[in-house]
Amino acid sequence: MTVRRLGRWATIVLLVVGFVLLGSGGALADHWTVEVSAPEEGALGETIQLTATVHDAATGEPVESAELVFFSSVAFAGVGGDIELGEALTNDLGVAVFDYELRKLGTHTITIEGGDEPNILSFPVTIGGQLYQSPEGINLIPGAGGWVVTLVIGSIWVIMIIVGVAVIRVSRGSPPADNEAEAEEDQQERSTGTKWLNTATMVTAVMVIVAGGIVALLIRSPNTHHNRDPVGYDRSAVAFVEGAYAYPDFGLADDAAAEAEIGRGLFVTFGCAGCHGVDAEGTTTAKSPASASYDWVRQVIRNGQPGMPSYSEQELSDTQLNEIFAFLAEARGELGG
Amino acid sequence: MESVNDWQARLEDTTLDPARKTTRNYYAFLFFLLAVTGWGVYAYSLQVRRGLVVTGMSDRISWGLYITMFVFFIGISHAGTLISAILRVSHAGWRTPVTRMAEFITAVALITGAFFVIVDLGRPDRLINVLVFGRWQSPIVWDVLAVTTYLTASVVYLYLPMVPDLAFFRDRQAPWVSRPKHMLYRILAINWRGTSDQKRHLRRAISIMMILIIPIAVSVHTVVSWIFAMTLREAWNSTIFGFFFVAGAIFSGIATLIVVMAILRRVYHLEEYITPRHFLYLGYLMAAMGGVMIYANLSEYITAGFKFEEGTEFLFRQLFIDEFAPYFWFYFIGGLMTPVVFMFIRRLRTIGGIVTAAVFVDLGMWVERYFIVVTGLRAPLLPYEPVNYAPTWVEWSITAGGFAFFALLITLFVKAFPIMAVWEMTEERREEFEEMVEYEHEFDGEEILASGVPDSAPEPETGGPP
Ligand code: HEC
Repeated sequence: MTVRRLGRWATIVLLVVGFVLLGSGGALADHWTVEVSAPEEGALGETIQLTATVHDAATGEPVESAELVFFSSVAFAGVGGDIELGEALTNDLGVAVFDYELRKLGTHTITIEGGDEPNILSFPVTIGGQLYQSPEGINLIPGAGGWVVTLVIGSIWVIMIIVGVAVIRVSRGSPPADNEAEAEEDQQERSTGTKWLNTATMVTAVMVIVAGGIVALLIRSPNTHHNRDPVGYDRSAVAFVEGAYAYPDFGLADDAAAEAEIGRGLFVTFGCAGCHGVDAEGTTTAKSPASASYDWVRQVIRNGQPGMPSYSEQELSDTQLNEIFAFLAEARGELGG
Repeated sequence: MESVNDWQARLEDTTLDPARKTTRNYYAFLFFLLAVTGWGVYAYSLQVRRGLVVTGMSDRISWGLYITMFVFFIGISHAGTLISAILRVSHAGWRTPVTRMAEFITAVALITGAFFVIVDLGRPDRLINVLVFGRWQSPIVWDVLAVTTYLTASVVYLYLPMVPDLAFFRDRQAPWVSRPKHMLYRILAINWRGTSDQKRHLRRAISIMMILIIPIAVSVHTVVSWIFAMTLREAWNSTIFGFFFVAGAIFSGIATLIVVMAILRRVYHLEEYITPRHFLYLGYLMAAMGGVMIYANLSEYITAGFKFEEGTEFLFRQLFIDEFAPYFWFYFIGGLMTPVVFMFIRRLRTIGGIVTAAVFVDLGMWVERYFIVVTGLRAPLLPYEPVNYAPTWVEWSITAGGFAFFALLITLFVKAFPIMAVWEMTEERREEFEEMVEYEHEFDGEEILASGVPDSAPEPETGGPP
């Protein structure tokens, strides 16, 4: 009897608590206003702060410990979507701060969830200063630097040039020979220009040129990578795979296998490899497309599949489609299918 | 007792011989070398057209035979420096007959080694970028600087003591040598008449170079080792690497010198000048370097093995027990212990024995370069399955071509240039002779020879009881 009564009370208490919790939770979520802000624009490599301020819509009070989730919209391998960057909690002033490192150029779009509606921030990212900041390392030693290398190598070459001059001396140091025949020959050699334009002079000249080149290289060294004048230097240009693997200048493109080779490159560029594997071997996302017939490949590429985007003719030309197929046909052989 | 002049005349004849007489065997050998080199060039042309896909290298094991060859040849280029410069500085008289060969090996090995860096590039046309975009912060650029400097210095160092000998070729060969060849000697001999003035300048130049070239040579191999040691790889993460590579270089340099010396001695009958004493001394030097190498190996592996940090286990396993164990133990027992053991056993301390040991050393050191390169890259940095590397026929062909090219340059050199330092040898002989007269003391060079090696009869080329 007491057991049954206890059970009833417990149920009632649980229900009440549950309703209160549910109600307050709903009330909290429904009545937040969230304001988000970010710098006008950012520079590549910089870490910026995204801030979100949360107020209770009803009372206007700042909300503490509210959780906000930051997403970034990305497109990869032909598919787009939001990926979670992380979370941040508000402090007693209702302000949440999220550190965000800018790793690519272009417009960044950040979605912040937590309020009634997702808030969206959008800002451009441009080239800033030098990207790579080297840690102290050897520079900890006072005075260590490129000049030491320059000095050491420079002095070695100076000594070698001194040797070269000694060799020139050797070539010029022949006084009148003791017998007449030799003296004549000597004369002849001198008149044919061997006196100045001889091996010794040439060797020395070459050494001077090489030494000059080396010193020039060392002196130019800090400025070779545009790190002193980043303006107009687009780093992102080298950051993505473009075109095919084939090196047209080097005859690969003229080969019989060229079509398949180009196809291999396209397979990566169009993102097929992201789902089907670099060698078209199939992944957990999608099976291997290597054994598909030409018509089927065409059909699938143009119309898509569940889980696979379609590619229109503007995006992926017929020639490219053929090249991809050539690659798939080759892959079929390699995969033994 | 024969006079110095007679002695000199005989020496001059012997030195001229290779340039005067060309046997049919010589042409056959030359043809063979040209064929192998040509095959290597063909394989390389294929690689240039197709790219590095034709090799067994991949993204994870991106260095293979080519870099092995590079390190190996840069290593044996230390032959000249050590024998010639160090012994010259320390006035070790016995070195003179072998200096020329040693210096020549240096220059040729450097040229061959430097080639292999270019061969290793997928886009050799981009080599120019090293100059255009080079930064001194990069170990690759240190390498370029060091190798260029060393190549220039060693060519100069080969050339300087050769000037008087070239003049002698110019004068002695005049009646029968072809015009262009005579022209060559005349140009290269830069008016050498042997006046005291010229001698003074030449001596000065030589003595500057002989000192300068030692630090350059040491720096070159240190920098080559840094190409490895400056990367974040378990196998190469060693402070001893610079020293280790330099020691290995000198070690394999001596071995190569012994082999080349033995071949030239046999082919061109240089028995009078290149005596068992030379083999013996070089053999002792080689054994000493072998000891140093054994020590360096112990020191390196025991420090790493005692701590056994993460990653070391994989490395030790593949090196000592699994895939690379045959290579490692061949290197350790065949390459490092053989020379030491051979020099301890009197019966093996013959020319044949020493040459056999030298061949083992060369093979062992080559294998060592190979496994240093490959095991280092094979140990995964991320928890992946390790990938494997097997050279393709293209790589083997180019490697064979490289060895043939090395031999080819030596073969051609022998034909055109004095293979022994006639001038220096004569000067020394003269000094010795004068001393001898002074002390009225019968000098017998062979007395120094402490072992029971017979001096005269040609030795069997490979070991075995005499
Ligand atoms: C977003 C992932 C994704 C991308 C990108 C993608 N695919 Fe697919 N693909 C799929 C999925 C999923 C299927 C359905 C087959 C399965 O269930 O495994 C498929 C099917 C195929 C098929 C049919 C296979 C068969 O045997 O039925 C072919 C052919 C194919 N893809 C080719 C391509 C090519 C070519 C590209 C690049 C132009 C590409 N795919 C890009 C996911 C992808």
